[in-house]
Amino acid sequence: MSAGRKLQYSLASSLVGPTLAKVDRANSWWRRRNRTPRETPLGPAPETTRLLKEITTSHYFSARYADGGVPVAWVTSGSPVEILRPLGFHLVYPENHGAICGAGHKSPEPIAAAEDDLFSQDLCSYARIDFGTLISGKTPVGRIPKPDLLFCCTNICQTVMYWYRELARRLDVPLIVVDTPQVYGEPTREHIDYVIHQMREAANKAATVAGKAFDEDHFEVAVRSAQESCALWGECLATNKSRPAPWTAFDGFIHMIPIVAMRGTDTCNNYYRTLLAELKERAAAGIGGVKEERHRLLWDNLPMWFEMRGLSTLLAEEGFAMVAATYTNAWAETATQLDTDEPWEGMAQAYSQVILNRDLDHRLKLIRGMAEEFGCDGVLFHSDRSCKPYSVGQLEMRDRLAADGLKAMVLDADHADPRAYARGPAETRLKAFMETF
Amino acid sequence: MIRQDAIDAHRRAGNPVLAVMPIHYPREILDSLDILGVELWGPPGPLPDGPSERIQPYVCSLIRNALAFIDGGGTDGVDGILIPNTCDAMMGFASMVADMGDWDRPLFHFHQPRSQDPTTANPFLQGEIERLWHALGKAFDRPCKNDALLEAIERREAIEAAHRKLRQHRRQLPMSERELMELLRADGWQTARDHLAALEAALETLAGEPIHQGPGVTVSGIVPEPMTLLDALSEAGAVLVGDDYASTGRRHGGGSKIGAPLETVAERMRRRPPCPTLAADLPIRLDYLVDLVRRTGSAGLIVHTVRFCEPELFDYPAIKERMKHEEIPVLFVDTEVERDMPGPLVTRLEAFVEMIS
Repeated sequence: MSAGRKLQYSLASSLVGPTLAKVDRANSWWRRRNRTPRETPLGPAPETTRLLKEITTSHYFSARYADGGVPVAWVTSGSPVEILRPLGFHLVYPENHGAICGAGHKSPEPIAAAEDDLFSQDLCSYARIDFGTLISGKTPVGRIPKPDLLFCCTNICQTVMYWYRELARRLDVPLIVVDTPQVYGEPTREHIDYVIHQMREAANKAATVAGKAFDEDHFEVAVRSAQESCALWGECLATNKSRPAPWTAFDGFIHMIPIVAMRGTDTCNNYYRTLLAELKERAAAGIGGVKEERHRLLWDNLPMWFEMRGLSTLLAEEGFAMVAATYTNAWAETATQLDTDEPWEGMAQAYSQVILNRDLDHRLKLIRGMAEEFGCDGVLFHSDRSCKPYSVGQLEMRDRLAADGLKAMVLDADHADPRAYARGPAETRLKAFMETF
Repeated sequence: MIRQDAIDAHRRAGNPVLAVMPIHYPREILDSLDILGVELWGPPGPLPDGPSERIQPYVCSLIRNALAFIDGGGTDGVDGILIPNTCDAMMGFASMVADMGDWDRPLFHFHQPRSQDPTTANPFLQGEIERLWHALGKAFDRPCKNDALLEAIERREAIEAAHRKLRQHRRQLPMSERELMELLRADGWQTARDHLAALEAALETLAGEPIHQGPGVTVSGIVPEPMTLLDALSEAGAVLVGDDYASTGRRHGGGSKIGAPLETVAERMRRRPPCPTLAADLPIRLDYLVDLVRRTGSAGLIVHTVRFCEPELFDYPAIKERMKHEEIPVLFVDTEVERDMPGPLVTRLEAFVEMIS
């Protein structure tokens, strides 16, 4: 690592990035000032969204200067990154980058590049975006720093393991896999011990890559801070138990960036404190994410990043507010398990019990519980072609919920590949679904 | 003997039968307890009502067929089911069977570790094998005895040695590709003793001189009973000399007296050829495939996967790149388990064989 590069990174993180983000914010305001607001059935977006844009811009800007200055790790969204935080790694989330490409309608180009390089259309679109970006070198975030380490946890899927193996081969960098056995019922002692052992090994390997000793005290601080992030995020989501819901799950998808990519940092925790305060104010003032909320829905699976605006508007036009999502809940669900008195045990428990690493019985109970807690009248299952662990079992769950009297519909699409979504037929089906309420 | 006869005979003898989902599990453990493992790879061929509609069509046909088979009563005659953590779809399937179906018999999970670190993965694997052994023993009221396990290990080693020898001397074997694959795949439903006897009988028939003269090929992939591809290969005049199918060649371990019985079973599993479902290091898999092609004198490699099989599909670009570097011709074929091979695919296969001839 060079001292000059480290200085560049430090300046980019603390000064230039935030300044550019503020300038960008001012420019946006200038462009918008004379614009007539669009007629929309959606309520006003949370003001904090502007701050989100600032910290995201700053985060991705600083990333451009990370390699060579600080150790860089590419990590999966379910990785126990609290291990890496005390070692000073800059973390890059390829899935988050895939979501940004999807939401910005920039995914077709990297996807095509990956498919040209023989990655099948049947593979996860996040992975295809990642490989396509690697091949073409083009990204809407400017530049993604080269990793010194690949860090992958199988708690969200096995797909990430196949994906990261190929990254390790292409980039010739070390790969750490934390294998979390699928939890059927409750996790077994043997499985938790196995995960703890791997996490400790991961800490040793990551320390070698970072060229720094692993500090248990700093690790405990990172776990405590991550626990706070998850708890704050959970509180933000819980504000939607109010009627009307002060924001929608679609807003929640956007506001996930800090909990996924900056979990356990001061930036993340400060951000969610600000957001929480605003959401509480909105709830108290009766400001809804949807102007005229008549029905409340629950979302299951990842979002269709490329169709968020269209879908949320279509639903809102008929008075439907998406008030909760199993996906956004995933980063809040295990907060209480992050035991700061026994951080290794707590980490193993928390990271083993994320929704995608548990059985369908748990999923069904979770959905029923959330539907009741948030007062949902129905459930929208996104059958995500790219995410089999989330999608297998949905057809069955839909039928079970219907038997309980909870209306449910399955929508076929993909999280980042718009080719898998037939908008016309899907909207027709959605309208028919809404008419049944 | 056909599959159902084997099941009936085993049950008549008072022994349990277990349905087993692909791919990797400690077979010696089942054998040591006199449990017949009947593998459920689809099954091949069309099902009366088609694949299950309880799972989305973008999940591989192996899983959808297995679910339809179970729903249709195909596994009514077994005493339990064993489901390893092969892939995401398989783990979802396990949960569907347990939580969303009418499965009322024991269900066993087997977690093959993905950890790259042997100091973590090895003891865990051995622990999983031991846990499974005792769980099966308890469920079917069978004692877990070391001497029975040692005998089972020796039988398994003999079976794998015979498989290797048959493939090694493929050109001298008076059998069609289909007949040989049927023989090898019977390992998925015969008792170890019966299967070993059938293999020994086949080895007796080896001719002194080569019978099959066409160009040799290596096939790698997940498709379990690839009979239509094998027929097309035979028709085109090629000979399958390198077997990296997940259902056969990729499950051969090696070594029968490594240490204590459980340690030996674990070590034999670790010694299997690199499989993407086990998170095998990709460069190691590529080296293995190149070596297999060279060692068997293959003129080309066919990568034969079932549609939507992520573990295999992720590796294909790397395989293609490496084989190009090694100047080994490659053909990629993806098929559904339940379908015959479509005409255009047969034509591609013929053209490939012609090219490597």
